[in-house]
Amino acid sequence: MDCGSVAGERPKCPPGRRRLLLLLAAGRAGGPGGRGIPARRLLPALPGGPGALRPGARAVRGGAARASPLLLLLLVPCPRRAAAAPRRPPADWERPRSGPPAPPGSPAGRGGVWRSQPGLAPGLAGAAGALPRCLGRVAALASSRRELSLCAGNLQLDSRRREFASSGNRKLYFDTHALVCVLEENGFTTQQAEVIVSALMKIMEANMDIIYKDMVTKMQQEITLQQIMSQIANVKKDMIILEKSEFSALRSENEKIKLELHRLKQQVTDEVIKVRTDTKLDFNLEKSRVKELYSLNERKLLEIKTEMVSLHAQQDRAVTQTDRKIDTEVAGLKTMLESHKLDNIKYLAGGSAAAPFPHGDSALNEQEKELQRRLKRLYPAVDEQETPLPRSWSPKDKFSYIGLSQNNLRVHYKGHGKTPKDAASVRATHPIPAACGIYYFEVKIVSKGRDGYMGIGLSAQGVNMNRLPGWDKHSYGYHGDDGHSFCSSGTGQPYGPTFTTGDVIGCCVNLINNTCFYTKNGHSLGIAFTDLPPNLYPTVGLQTPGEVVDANFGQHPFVFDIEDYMREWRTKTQAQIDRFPIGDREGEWQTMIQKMVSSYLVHHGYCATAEAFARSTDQTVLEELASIKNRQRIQKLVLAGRMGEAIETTQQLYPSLLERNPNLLFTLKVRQFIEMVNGTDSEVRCLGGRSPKSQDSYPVSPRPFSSPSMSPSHGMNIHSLASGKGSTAHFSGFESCSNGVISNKAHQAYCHSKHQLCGLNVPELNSINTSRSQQASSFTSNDVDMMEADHHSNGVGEASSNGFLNGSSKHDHEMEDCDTEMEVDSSQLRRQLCGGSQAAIERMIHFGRELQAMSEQLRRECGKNTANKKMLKDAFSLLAYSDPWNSPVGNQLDPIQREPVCSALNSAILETHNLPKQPPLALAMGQATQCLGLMARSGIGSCAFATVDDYLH
Amino acid sequence: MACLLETPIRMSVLSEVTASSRHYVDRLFDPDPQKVLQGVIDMKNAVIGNNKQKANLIVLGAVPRLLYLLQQETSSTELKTECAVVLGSLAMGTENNVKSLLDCHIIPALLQGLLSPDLKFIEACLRCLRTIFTSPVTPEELLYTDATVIPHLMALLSRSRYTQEYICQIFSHCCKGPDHQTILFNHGAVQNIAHLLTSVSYKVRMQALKCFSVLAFENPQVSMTLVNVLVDGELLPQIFVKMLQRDKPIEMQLTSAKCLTYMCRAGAIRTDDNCIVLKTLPCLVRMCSKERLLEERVEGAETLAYLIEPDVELQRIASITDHLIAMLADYFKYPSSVSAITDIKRLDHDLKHAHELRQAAFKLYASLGANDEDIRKKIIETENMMDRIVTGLSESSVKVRLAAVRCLHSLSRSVQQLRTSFQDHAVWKPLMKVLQNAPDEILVVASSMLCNLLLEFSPSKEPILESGAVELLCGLTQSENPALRVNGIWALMNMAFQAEQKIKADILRSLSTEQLFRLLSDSDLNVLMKTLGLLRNLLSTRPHIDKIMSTHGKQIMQAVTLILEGEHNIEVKEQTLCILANIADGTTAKELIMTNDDILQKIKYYMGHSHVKLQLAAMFCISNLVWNDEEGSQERQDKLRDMGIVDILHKLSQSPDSNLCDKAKTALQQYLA
Repeated sequence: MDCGSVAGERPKCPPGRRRLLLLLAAGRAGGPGGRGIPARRLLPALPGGPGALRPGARAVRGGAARASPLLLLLLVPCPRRAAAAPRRPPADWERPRSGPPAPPGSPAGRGGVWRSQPGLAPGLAGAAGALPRCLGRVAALASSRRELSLCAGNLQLDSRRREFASSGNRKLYFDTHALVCVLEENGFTTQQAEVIVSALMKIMEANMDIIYKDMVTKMQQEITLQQIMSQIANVKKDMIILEKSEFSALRSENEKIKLELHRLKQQVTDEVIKVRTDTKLDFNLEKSRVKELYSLNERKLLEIKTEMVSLHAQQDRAVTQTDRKIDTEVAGLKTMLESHKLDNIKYLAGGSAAAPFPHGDSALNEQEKELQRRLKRLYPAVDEQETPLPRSWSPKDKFSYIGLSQNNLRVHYKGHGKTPKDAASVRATHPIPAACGIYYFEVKIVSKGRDGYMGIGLSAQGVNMNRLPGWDKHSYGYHGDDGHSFCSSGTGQPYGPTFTTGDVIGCCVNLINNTCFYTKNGHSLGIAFTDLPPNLYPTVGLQTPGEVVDANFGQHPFVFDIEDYMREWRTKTQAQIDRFPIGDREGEWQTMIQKMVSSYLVHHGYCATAEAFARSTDQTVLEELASIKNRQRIQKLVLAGRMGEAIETTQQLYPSLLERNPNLLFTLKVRQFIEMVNGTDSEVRCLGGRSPKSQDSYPVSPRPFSSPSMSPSHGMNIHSLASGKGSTAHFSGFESCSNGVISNKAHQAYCHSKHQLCGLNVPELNSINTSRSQQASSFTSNDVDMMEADHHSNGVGEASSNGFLNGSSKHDHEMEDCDTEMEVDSSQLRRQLCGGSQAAIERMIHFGRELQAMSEQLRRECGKNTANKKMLKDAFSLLAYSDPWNSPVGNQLDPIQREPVCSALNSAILETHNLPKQPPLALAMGQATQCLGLMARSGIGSCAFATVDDYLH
Repeated sequence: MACLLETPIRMSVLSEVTASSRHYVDRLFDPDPQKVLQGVIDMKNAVIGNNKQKANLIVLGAVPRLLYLLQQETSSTELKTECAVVLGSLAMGTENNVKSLLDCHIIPALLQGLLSPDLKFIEACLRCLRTIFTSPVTPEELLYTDATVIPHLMALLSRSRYTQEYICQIFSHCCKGPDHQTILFNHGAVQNIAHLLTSVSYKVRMQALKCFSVLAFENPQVSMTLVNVLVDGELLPQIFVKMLQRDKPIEMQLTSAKCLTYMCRAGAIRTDDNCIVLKTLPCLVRMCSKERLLEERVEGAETLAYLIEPDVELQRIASITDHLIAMLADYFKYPSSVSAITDIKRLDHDLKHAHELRQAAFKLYASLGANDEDIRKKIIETENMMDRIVTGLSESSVKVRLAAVRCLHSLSRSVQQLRTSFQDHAVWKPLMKVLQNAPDEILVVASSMLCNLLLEFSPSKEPILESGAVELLCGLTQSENPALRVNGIWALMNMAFQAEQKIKADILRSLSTEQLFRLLSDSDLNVLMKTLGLLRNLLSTRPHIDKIMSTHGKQIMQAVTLILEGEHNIEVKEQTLCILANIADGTTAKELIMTNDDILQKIKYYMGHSHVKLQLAAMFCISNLVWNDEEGSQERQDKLRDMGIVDILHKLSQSPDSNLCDKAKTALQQYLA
């Protein structure tokens, strides 16, 4: 019955748990002896998962292991103690064991999930994996157990019956003595009777035994009944329990199956995910493969494209080269044509027409024009006649390893380039003129060649060309391989970055402070050299094969903004000039300036202004007012183109002047001839019928010039008288006769109106003289013209060629305004030779002959004079054209050309009075200009940014 | 009039000082307006250029009376104008003068005066306002308190060249910050001021230019508008470029360079635009040259630093332009020894600018050396550069210190310099000093520099560790400032890289796991990344892994799960997988992964992820797990095979990514062996 209770309790535990219990019991307690071994083997599998994943073999083994202890327990009729023993240890065991799989003291919250994973998963998996396979076995187990317990019950019953049978309290209920007596009575002897009885008893006993054997006593029956009843109750109970356990087993099985299903489901989803990711992966792989293919194709395409482009470029280059060749050919042919044309014209014009224009111009191609323009803009102060600017590399001044191409702008290396001894340089055609102020050129690295040992810099004339710039004395360079600067030394100083193919390196020489800096791709790299000597040549040096560089001396726009840099230095220089200390004697400075101004006014005959100025500044005018007026009058005539009158007046007022100065006279006459052609000279004009009033008063002969109010002889007399008496008398006399001239209002008015037309600015000074209309008019007309005259006088003066240029360039514009208006007024009437009158033409031709004679005479007396000859030739060539105004020599007819003549005459007059032939102001300006030229020659760069012009407002 | 009542009291105190000025004030109270006018004119003449007289008049209470006269309806315009002129003259004096004027509420009175129809009076008011607003004691908010003021000023811009000059000047001084910029912009400042750039008056042009420079500063909206503004058929940037020409006054060059710089930084002009590369940059470099005034040099250098800060190409160009690096070395030569003896005034001037010069130079060096190794080398090779920086670190001025640290930080990005110059000059010493109790802005730069110094190849690492860097950095990770947190954790990460067990333990101890978790859930992605990096570095080399995992295994695994489950970007996940791979490399730590099916599933998932990096990282993990030579590898291999890892490996071994392919093949070999 004890066993029964043990067996009955057991199935209550859930199978998993029970298994655990049993197995652990087996392992730990080892109670059932050595039979625990298989269970131990399973032990390590318990906390881990592998068992679950390998259900096959191990589950079987596990099943076996599970069965054996169960049988043992059931088969051995253990005492209660033995049954309890395996139960407690599992409980104890379970607690410590629960540690490792489930980490202790894990944090709350999400940690729960975390913890459950290792703990639960193996358990579930284990259970799920193992159970379905041993399900049947458990059922079998249960039934076998029942059988066994019944069998045990029978055995017990047997043993008990045996006990009962052998108890021996049997009794024989019959009187043997009575039987013997009966027998004795009936004839048996006592002995016989006894024998019979004993035999009978034996038989009976035996029978009884037999009967007893088969007979059941009531008590026995009851006991048995009781026993059977209890047995039945037991069985019943057992049945119920079993039934219950079976249910739970089934339920758990059900549960397990559910779990299994779940797991399967999960597996399936996993599988699905896997498949999906696989496909995704495949997709990605495929994608990347396609991408790669795409990029490969693209690269190929690109390559092909670049190839195409390069081919195109090559083609283009070839085409442009051919184009350029054709262009040059055409230009050459054109030049030739032009020159032939010119020759023809010259021939037709009687060989007297000169070629005033440099016809080579047309041969300059676009690039050269561009270069010319840019150089002019960058270096306006440079006189290219004197100091030409570098425009290309010199084919002569180079080492033999250097090759030049593309108009001597491209340099390439053609040596071996093995050692530094193979270095080679080339210089530009000309040194850098100091008048540049700031000079700049750029070099583009077309190819860095093998090693890129390129040097860009400067060197003086005569420096060894078998070297890179910078290695020798008076040689300076910046090298591409290391970015060092070499200042007349074989070892470089760290200077800037290295440079290589595609870079544009610029070199800027500052001739003001004699420094040099480089630029790379338009970025200034800072000062490289200081204290540079003058007259350096742009230089490049190459050292290894394949190195090619292109120079840009202004052919193309520069990458670096050099003009901005120049602006800075221009501002600096001008600020320096403005701040130049004048000295502490302020007053003297002031007086000096006033003197200069007044002398200038006097020189040019602005008598009223000069007077007013002198009054207000407490100055004395050296020259008499009358003398000034006389000069003014003559100048006015010259500027009006009325040369005949001018000569006449001069001869009247200054009789010996022209005689002493045959060259001047000749110049005046030539001018007169030109004015005749122009139709402006008084002799011609009156013939042209434009001035009827004076027409008859002008005789045909030029000599006896007669003004209506004054006879020449009278003038001559006065003059001779005056010269005899001395200056005072002379002037007073002149005054009287000049009155006559001035009274000639027709001329004056004409002159006046004409100059008003010129549209010149009427200066405020005019208002001072409003009362004297004639003077006012003269003033107006002369104001600007005189300035011109003055500049021209500078120009004519033998040294100051610069002044001439500047002066004319400044005032050209104004004069042009004047011209056009004059021409507008004259175009209707006298766009014809000598005003269109036949008489005038005859007169002009006659005058020409006289001029020719005079020239011959002059040559005889004073020897050859090329200037005069040219002058005459130019003047005569006017006649070679049907429209002299638009002919190549037509500029002679320009009124501007009167000015040099005018100023020459003025100077000559002044000289006769021992007065300076130039005003001090003009002299100062000329000196300043000259000084700038001198600065340029002596290498002082500031001259570039200080032109006299800037200060003439 | 309330103020007037106080005057007798003040007067009694200062009676003798003010006695001479007394009658000027008295005349203001004359009943005859003509006399009052004469009095004001006399006062004007007395006050000009005489600070003492100005102070006296203010003390005597002339200001309230003048303001009263200014606002009085009955006053003639002439009187009003003269009053404004006197007030303007008073404002020209000391800062105290301006304060007293402000106390009398002069600004509303003057603004009221602007409504007058008389131009002369308006100009006088504006001149006075200009003087007051340009004073540092005036709060610029006063200009914006009344919303009608700005439109009115805009309208006045067309009146005369004086109004133009003064209004532009007021704007350029009162435009601080994006709010003001927006207000001015919305009232059409750009259109109204743009045409002033072509004004004949130099002053107007200059003030307009200054106005634009403040408007464009860090303001993309304004900058974008400026780029497209046409003035006389020319775009504004072209006009600015013209103003950059070298023959223009320096002030103009500098200010227009600033305008262009700000427009460039605000994204309105590209950094490779010619007007930046060929004009603005060279101009700013010129401003740094010795010939310029000290103030110009400071401003030039600072602007240049700002311009080139984000662009390597500009840094390269600037570094070769006009020997800029050598030029900057001159910034440290003030006050020069010569000036100290010969000229006290000059010395004073030098001293005043010395700090500014130094910090400007440091800033520019920092910008120059930010990205290019060659430039850094050039900077360090400049004479005494390191000494100067080290001295700069301990200078009293915060600005200089900050700039020096920034410079040093830039330079510390160079491995070579870290190993040489930084070591030679023991840079870490002053740096650690700077880090103590420094303001946040310095801390940010200094700590990020510390990151560099703690790199494993840096020889400074040891001494820095010894001076208690770990605690300091752990402290930084708890800062409010995200930049500081990043730097702190970053430095720790660098420190942990290939470090000894002791250091790692130190880090873990002083950081504490709670803090670690806090950082892992930080909102800043950078912090998260660096924390993961730290974990990864902590978990390297087998013994360290086992050691750390044995003590912190649970938390770490938890953290890893957390991140892998969370919504993070690829990099974060990759980093996390790498941590797993590291864990898988440990001997005992492996078990933590092997027993965690969840993690295994995740690894498996990431092996099939579309991103190659993640695949690779997961691959590392797997190959560590299946590695043959180690104990228990068979079982792990079995388990993983059961999970279907092998199939994936096969697939991955066909991958186009060669790295991944190789890895997969090696892992498979482990199975075969």
